[in-house]
Amino acid sequence: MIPADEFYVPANGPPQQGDVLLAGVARLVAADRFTPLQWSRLDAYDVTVTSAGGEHTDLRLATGPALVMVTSHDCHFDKEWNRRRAALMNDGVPEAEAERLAGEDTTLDRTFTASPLIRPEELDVDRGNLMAGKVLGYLPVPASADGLVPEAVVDLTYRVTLDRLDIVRVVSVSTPARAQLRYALTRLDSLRAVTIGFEIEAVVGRHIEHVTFPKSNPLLVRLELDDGSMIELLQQPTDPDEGPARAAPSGPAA
Amino acid sequence: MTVLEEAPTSSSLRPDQPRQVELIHGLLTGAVFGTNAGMSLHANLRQHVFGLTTVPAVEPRFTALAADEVRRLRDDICRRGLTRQDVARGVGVDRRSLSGYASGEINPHPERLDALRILARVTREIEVERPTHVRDVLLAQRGEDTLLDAVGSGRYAVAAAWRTWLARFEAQVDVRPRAPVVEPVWSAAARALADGRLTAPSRTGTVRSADTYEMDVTEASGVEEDLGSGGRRRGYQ
Repeated sequence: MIPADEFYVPANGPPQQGDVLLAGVARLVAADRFTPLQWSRLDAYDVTVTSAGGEHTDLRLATGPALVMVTSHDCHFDKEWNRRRAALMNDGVPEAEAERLAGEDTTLDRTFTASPLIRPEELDVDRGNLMAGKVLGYLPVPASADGLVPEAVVDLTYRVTLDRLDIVRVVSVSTPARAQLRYALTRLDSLRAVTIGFEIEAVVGRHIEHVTFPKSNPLLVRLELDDGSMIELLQQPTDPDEGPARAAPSGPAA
Repeated sequence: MTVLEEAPTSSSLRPDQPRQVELIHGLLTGAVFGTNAGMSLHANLRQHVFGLTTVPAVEPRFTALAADEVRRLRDDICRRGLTRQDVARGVGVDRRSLSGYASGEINPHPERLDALRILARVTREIEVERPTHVRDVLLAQRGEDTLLDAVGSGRYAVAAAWRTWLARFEAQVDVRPRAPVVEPVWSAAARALADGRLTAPSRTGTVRSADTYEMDVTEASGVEEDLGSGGRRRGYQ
């Protein structure tokens, strides 16, 4: 795990991927209110919405305040703002005015996704592996020096949608920490083999000078060797095996 | 320009009711088509000069007064989250007519003006009790009905008793807190927030090139899944 003084950076500017926020989490639950053990501490409230006139089945939510880490990429926060700005400029609006108008457009999407921080001891996995970042789906975070963030792991398997106008930021993270988050997200969401580069130097007998990732194909890795030759590696995503059938819990619904 | 005079039968009407007016030359014209919200302020129409019957048969000054009120009420309602289309629906007219009222091109019928006043009052009341949810409350579907349509169709009693009307049909929400057994992960940050030490991130946009947001799904063919012949799939380590 990256030490705290290298993991955290002062928070300022627009929201970024990896920011730790004070916000909340919520999810829909079944009638028996099944909750994985590690999430039970996140569920401060059980909410049931009974529909008027039976228009729909009851909605059951588990929700509560939480520290969360932003999982959306930085550029997501400005996607519609950039689109609106470009459209205005295409219509002949000066750049500064286009940015002002786009900034005042209240219809632009403000939502993003984040995952909650949970205490390591709440997970039934080897703590050493967990805090070393070796358990898929979890990103270890060190305790911050100011005490606002305890030692924890980001549970990337729990994703919530939040509004950027309804959050406060606790701290931002460094570039290396953000890189670890992106790696963890990639491993979890696309399940790509990422060890393909191991011992390539030994196999080909050359030293790798540069590694580049062409923008046109982010799954392509280009290795430039010390003799000027080049190797291109193409990662291939795959899916997990079909798991056991999921069944509704037995016994009467709560 | 043609001088009009009040028809004799109109003397029994209330001041705010439509009146028939008659051209001095005997040509009857109905103020009802132009409505009379402004006219009601005047006791004697003889003093006033009207234009041709193709325009509302009221004095422009009073049309302007009504237009002022319509604009003020409409904007007041829209500030609470309703669209102009919503306002027109709540008044029981189409949006074009509402625009005509606001611009002074059409003089509103008193019933429509009443609907607008009641809609404005109800939105103010809802705003006090359910801030930012005025539109949700007015447009909440209850069977085939909404509070907005109740106002638009003149059922003002329903609108006045909106709390009762809403409570009878509203979905129920049950909230049960769970007692925390250990100090939550977020407790230190919550204290910092209460102390004013945390702030919201900046809302400033960051300029990015258009290709940041573009992709070509045909490139997916280059990363098709290769399961291989063995039992173990690539991708898991």
